[in-house]
Amino acid sequence: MKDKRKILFFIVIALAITTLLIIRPSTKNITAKYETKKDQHPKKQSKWQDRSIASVPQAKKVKKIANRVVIGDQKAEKISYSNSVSKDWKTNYAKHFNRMLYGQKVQDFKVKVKRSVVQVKNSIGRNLEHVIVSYKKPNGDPFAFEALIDSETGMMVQSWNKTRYEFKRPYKIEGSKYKYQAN
Amino acid sequence: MNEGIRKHIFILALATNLLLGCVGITEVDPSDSTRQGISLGGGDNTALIYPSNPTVLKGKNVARANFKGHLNSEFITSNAFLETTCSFEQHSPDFFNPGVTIPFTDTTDDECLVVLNDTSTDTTVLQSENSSWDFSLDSDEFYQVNTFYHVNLMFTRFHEALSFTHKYVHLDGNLTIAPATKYNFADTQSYFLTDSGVISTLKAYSKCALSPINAFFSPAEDIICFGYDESFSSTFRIVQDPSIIYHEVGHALVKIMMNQRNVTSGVNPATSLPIFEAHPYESDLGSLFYDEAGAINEGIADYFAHVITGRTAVGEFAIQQITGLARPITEDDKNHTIPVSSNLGERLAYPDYLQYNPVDPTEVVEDVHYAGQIVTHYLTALTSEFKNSCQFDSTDSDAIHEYATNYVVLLLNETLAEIGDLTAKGSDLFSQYATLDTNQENVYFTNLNPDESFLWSTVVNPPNFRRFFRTFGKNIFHHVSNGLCPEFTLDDSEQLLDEYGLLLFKSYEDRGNGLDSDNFNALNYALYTGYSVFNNKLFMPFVFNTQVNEDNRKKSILISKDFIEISSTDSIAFVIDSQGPIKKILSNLTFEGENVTTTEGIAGPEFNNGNVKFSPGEVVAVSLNLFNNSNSTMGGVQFLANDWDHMKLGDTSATYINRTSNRNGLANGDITGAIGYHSPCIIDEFPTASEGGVTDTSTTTQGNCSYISKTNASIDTSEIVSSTVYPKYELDSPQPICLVQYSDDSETRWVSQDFFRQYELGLEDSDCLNNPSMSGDNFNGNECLMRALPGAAQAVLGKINAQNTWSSSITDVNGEFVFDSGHLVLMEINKWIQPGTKFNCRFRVRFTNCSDCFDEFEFGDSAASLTDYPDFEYAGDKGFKVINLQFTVLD
Repeated sequence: MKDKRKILFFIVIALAITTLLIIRPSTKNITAKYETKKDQHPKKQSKWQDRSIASVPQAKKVKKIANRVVIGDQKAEKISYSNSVSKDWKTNYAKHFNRMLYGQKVQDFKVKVKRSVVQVKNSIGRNLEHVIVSYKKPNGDPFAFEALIDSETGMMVQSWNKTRYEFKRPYKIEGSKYKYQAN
Repeated sequence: MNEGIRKHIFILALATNLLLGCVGITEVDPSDSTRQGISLGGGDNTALIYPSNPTVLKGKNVARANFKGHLNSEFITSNAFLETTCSFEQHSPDFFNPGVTIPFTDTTDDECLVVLNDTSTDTTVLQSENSSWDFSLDSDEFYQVNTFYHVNLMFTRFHEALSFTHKYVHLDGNLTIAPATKYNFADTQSYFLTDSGVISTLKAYSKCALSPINAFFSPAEDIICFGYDESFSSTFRIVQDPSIIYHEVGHALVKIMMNQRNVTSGVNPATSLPIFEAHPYESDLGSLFYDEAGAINEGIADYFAHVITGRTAVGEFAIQQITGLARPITEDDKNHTIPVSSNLGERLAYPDYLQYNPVDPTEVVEDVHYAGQIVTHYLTALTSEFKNSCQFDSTDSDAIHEYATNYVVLLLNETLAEIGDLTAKGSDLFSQYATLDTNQENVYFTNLNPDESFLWSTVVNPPNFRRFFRTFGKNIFHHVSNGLCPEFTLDDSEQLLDEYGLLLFKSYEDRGNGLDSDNFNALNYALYTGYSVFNNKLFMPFVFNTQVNEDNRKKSILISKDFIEISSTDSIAFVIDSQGPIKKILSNLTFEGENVTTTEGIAGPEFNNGNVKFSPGEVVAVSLNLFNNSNSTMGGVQFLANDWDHMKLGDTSATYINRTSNRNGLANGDITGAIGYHSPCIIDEFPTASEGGVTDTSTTTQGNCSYISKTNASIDTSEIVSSTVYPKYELDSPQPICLVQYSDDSETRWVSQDFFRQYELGLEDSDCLNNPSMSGDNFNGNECLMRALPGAAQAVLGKINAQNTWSSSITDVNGEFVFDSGHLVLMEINKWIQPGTKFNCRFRVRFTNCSDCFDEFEFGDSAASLTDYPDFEYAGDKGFKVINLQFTVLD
């Protein structure tokens, strides 16, 4: 009898809580609910949110020279440099990039430095910047890629890891037949 | 209230509800607002999850998502936030108990996955409420949680399969082939996305504003975005279809597999110090335009959806909504609109179905998703073969699906690890840091060498259907037929590949084909017999290459490169030189991250006149008008305009590049030697000796035409005097493709551009294309007048039908065809060229189902020695048909 009372008590409590949960304010206004949730936990923060997307990762014992990660020949002891580091490399890169757009514009153009590197070959070092370039294309689609940029001229050396869209609309171009003309 | 008490009450509430008749599956009617909000499953870190897309759940095509009645309670995460770490179980040998392995679980230091709502700056990571992840049906939070569940499900399944792979190829298998799979995943955490060995968090956004609706994977930022569209009858979200979630995550898995070898750790045998280094680049499978590598990537991504779902199509809801039809991945699927079947001879075969769009089979469009269907159909058919023929220790169909898909993931991982290896080692068996053998420092078995591996794996020898399936077939032979499943024989494998037209190779290259770049000695695996990474397991390689049984080749047609040629009856090329289209192409390529920067002031679209000629100062888009003179379809036609080893220095002691600093240095006596000029090697009898061509016979003398560069090194900048760099040509440096015709009083001959600019035009360095202000120490006068822009130096044409040109093959029912940027190379023309100057540009052309572009009989005609070309040969003409495009620059 005592056990039955206990069970009944627990069932009543449980039903009450369940009912409470079901009839609590609905979340039609998702934004408002979201803000409330944030307010409820003002001090908790995801570890992930401590970092920005392009934060510089902690290096794992990589070889560095003058605070630049060495890529290429890791054994070179004495390095001569084929280029210098210009404070304007990023501006120059942006100029080169924008020049090739021929009047079109991208939005939110960002060049984030992942790391500064020195590419070493035959004891010759070339200062380069490993960057993530990101922007929104004129149609609003976000796009990003990684690149190595010459630290002096701002010229792009190589790019890779480009955004892969699932549904792509190719740009169609009309071609004309070329007939060989000797002169 | 105390968290613990809340949790217990929640559990009690759940239990009570269960007692009252609910069984963990609830129906939530979105129209009934009183039942929105947290419903069931709270307190135990669970949420209500749709296990599949609405079409599958309803058993019929539906126009809108309604998960009512189809939600299961599933565990999400015990973290307070919607994020998680990843774990990987790696085995190592127990040295005290031979044959026994010890598992070790590595967990990422940081979160490997976080799911967010959208990309707006104020988006925050969702938190659980009272250890519950239940949110209102159809709310943003509901979809975030569901996205998290399905992304995490895919990763967890992948890591199980990868763990199986690692254990088998390194510890349980026969080790008759050098394992490409990373031997120490844990050390570099390369079982997940990393940034130079530091774990990278994949950010998945469940509600991206992309118009029109779309989804993407950004490998630079490790972001997956799933779009939505409110213009549908109710909000349509791509994440409502988990098969598309698996597909997009599949692209991230391809990135992981391709790059697992690109971070190296171990001990430097020379110093006994730990070493940790990452290759500066990462591998990507496919460019942004149509190519076969991209098709393979799409096919694998679809296959990963099959790994989870086991179904015969992907996107039954999302792709159906967007295109009108789901994408089939087996021949028996109902979404096919052509008569294919799994019967003999009726498979979705290469190259015939490269452009097959189930929505409109009459359409002629090159698209990686269409071509990727061949890959997926083959992979699902292979999975079925494994299920039907292999012995498993279970009769449960789900367990057998898991075993069979484990085998396929093993094959994919081994293949992609080798193809994507930018260290150029191909296996940790050849890593001096893993084996502590200093002799292995410059031993390379894939992608030439670390300096050129990116170029090799993306342009010169990229993964096409031949390279991929040759490597994949090799791995089937060694890991499945000779290991996991002897019932699936090599003949079975070849017959299935052939059914799909994918038996595109003649031998398996299973003895390896490497090079020691210290001394340029050829290497094969046999030299490493008895080597080991885990030192109780010895490498026992094959001595001879296994040959394909030619009796198995019925559908896979191979064609000699002699059959591809420039059209003799039509124009030799298509040319685009109007300002508008060229500006559009340049900006389009720049938007796509390609380097097509023109030489400011020397060439650019502002000079373009649209007269369909090559005019001074123009940037011209060119597509060779290639003709297939055979009676079979050619697939994966690629033409290259990048530098290659086709020129010879007149004097091997005269190597200084013709540039002002060198001329001054020589004049002042700061350096000794002479300026070097190149002459064109005679290739296919052009140019003749009387036209300026040179030839020789010794294949062992560096600098010769007959000697192909073993390193593809181009310019040596190591000579520095008083802080001035004096660049020199390497003896066999690859050179730009265009020659120029030069006439003097006595003769007319083909010469290098540098010679012409010096002796005919007298141009300064600064008047050249890619002049030192752009190229710095890498300035090369041999591209002073005409050059291919580096970001548009190759083009890919999907297929050319028999006795047809590509343009005819791609022409639609209205008799029209158009180009995409990927079909064109861009040539920059110096404005200082005198009209009337004649050029010859040496394009290299090949195609995937080519019988003589990739291999040769090494010693006479012995079938046992048929071998693929070593990587360095792709710096020359051996694997290509050289197409000479001649034109005169005219105003």
